[in-house]
Amino acid sequence: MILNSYFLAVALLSLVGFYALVFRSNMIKITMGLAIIASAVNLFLISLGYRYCGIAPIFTDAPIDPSQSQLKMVLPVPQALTLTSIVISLAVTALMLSLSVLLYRKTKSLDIRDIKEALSND
Amino acid sequence: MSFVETHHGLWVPLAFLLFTCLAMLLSYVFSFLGRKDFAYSKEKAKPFISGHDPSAYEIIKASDYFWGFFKSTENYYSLTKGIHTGLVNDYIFWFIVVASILLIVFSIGVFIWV
Amino acid sequence: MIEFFSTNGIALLIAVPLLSAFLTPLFEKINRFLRNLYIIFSVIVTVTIGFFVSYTIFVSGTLVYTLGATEPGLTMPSGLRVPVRIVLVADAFSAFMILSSSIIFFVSTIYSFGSIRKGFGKYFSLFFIMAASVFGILCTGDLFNLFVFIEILSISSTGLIAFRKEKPLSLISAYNYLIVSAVASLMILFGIGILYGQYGMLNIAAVSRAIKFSFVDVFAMVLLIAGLAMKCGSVPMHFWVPDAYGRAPSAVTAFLVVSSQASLYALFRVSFMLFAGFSLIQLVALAIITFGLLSMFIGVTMALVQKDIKRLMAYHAVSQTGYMLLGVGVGLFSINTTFYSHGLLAMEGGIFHIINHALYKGLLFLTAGAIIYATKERDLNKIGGIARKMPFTTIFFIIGAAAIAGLPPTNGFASKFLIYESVFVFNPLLSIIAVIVSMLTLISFVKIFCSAFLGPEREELKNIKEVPKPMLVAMSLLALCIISFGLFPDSVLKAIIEPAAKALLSQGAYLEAVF
Repeated sequence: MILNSYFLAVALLSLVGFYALVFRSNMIKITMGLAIIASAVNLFLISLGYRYCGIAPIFTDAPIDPSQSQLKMVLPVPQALTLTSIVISLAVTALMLSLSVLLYRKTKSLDIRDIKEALSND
Repeated sequence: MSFVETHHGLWVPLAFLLFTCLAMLLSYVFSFLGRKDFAYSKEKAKPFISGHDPSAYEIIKASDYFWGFFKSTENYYSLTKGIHTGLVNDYIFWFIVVASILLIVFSIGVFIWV
Repeated sequence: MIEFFSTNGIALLIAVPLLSAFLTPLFEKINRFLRNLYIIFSVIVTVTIGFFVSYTIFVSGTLVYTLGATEPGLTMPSGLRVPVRIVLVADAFSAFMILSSSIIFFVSTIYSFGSIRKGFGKYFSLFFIMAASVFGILCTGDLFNLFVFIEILSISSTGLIAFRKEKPLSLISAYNYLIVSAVASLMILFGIGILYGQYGMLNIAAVSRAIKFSFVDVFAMVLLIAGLAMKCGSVPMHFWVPDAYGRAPSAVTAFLVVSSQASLYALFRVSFMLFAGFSLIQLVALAIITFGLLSMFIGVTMALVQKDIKRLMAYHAVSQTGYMLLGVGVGLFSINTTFYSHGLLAMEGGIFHIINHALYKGLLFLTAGAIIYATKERDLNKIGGIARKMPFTTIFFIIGAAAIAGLPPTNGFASKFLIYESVFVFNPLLSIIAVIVSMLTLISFVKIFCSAFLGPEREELKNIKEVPKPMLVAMSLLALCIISFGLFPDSVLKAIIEPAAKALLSQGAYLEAVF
């Protein structure tokens, strides 16, 4: 059971992220919430490929003796997926922050409720 | 002639066009059969709004259209407009609501029928 | 030459716009004329490849392209039982979607030449990335790449929605859109991760053969369906649609319609391919039908009260998406039931509505863009009597409005007719709601037409002129498509819709093409 604790961490992290997305109106905090959800999903992906006492999936690093039965490698595919996903979430976070900066320059506020009110008065 | 057939009906666009043209032609012909002594003038075609000055009603704004409809459906619209807040928090909230409803329905279904 | 294009067509369809996206800024550095020439050239090449690929698929069946293999058809290297490489698969349904996206891509490019005044190079750079990701979603046979393309689509369309960055409203719309799509695609990735953890595969065909529908799979299914439904803008997750559609430049909005339909394609592909063997598939179908009904009704009633012309049309886009969900949902429900033939008809109606919606909604957004371009005003209360000054735009608007309201003899009527005549077998109430929604659509377009186009001339709109020629050409192309689709619906149905519906229903053919 203790080995499954990373799934618990995934659930907790996504709860924290969704809490920030639903109950926080500061744009930076929303961005952080989204980044936390992205980390939760990344953690989930990477933990799918994890094996207890496994080594990196590089065959040249593997012990030469093939009779060694404990030879375990972690799965390489989830790591590739996670790398791609990290890059994408980096792009999303950067774009969100740049939009926040632009909005702050126009409206002098980071709170989306305030911005909404200010814009609907126009 | 091209047509779309369903199990209960038939839709022939070209025939529809043909009959529409025919009907327009016929109504044009009929318009010559009316009274010859009717003199058309702009005065007769002017709107009459119970004695009010029509020029005050010349411009009808878009939000004035179907006023009665919106008046009678006020309750519905106050509900739906209340949902459309324009805040991104609520957008995500509705996503969570829909996902949890789907999850509950599907998991009950799986437990009962599978 | 022909053979080269028919084998490598799907890969080129993604590669050419992606390459152009990065070459356009380089050409911009050299010369403006050269840049325009390059943009036109590469759009024509992309669209030609799109038409050619869909033609090839309709004539000779599903195309498969394995990335990184020695030959394109080699999905499984020797000794392997499952496809491990990234596979692009395009069957007749994808071909249909490619066709409709290519038309809108071409038209909105022409329109952009008239409507976009500054930042042309950046605009087209993002536009090409968007096109590449739409074609990627339509062609991919791999779940993870589906996620990647959806994310690329969200990022590039965010850039385009915020294109008028001096206006804070377009910035906040882009922000909302980005959060919504990022959450949706992260949840899709979560679902894909769960499926990968269960079966160790990412290929759609391979997963659909191995899937066992344990409780964990149901969780993945919920995440996928909810995420994709949010991306395609179905009620009650449609709130981003009026924001994003209403604030993007109009040519982009026309293409955003297609990109939401790409998510709709992914939703249908996932529910018909991955979950077709699920014993509770009818529960999934009921969920899709409910989404459809809610979208139709709430979309159209919210559209009635809008004042902003593009926001109004965006709510109509939500309500028309409901028709597609309704038609295809009834089709999904009717698999293995007694009213299968009616279900097939409903699916044909729903799928026909996809291309019709892309055409007339594209046209309507372009006319709205033309009105905003000419009057610098988007509030319907402040526009009036522009039919005298903009006769061509008025004619195109009438054609588009007639099509969206389902007036005969337009293409919108043909597809709605198929839906009305088939979904009543499932429940008569569905047809009734569909007809009522169609009527309400007509009412709200009468409102736009009477207030904006008719009426006395406004003092402040004395000096408006008809829009530039590229915009008129773009609108006339779409109007021509609408009229011809409306007058000859049977040839369209036989040529592209029927194969598409059958391809969506036949899981076996898709599996056979990959394995």
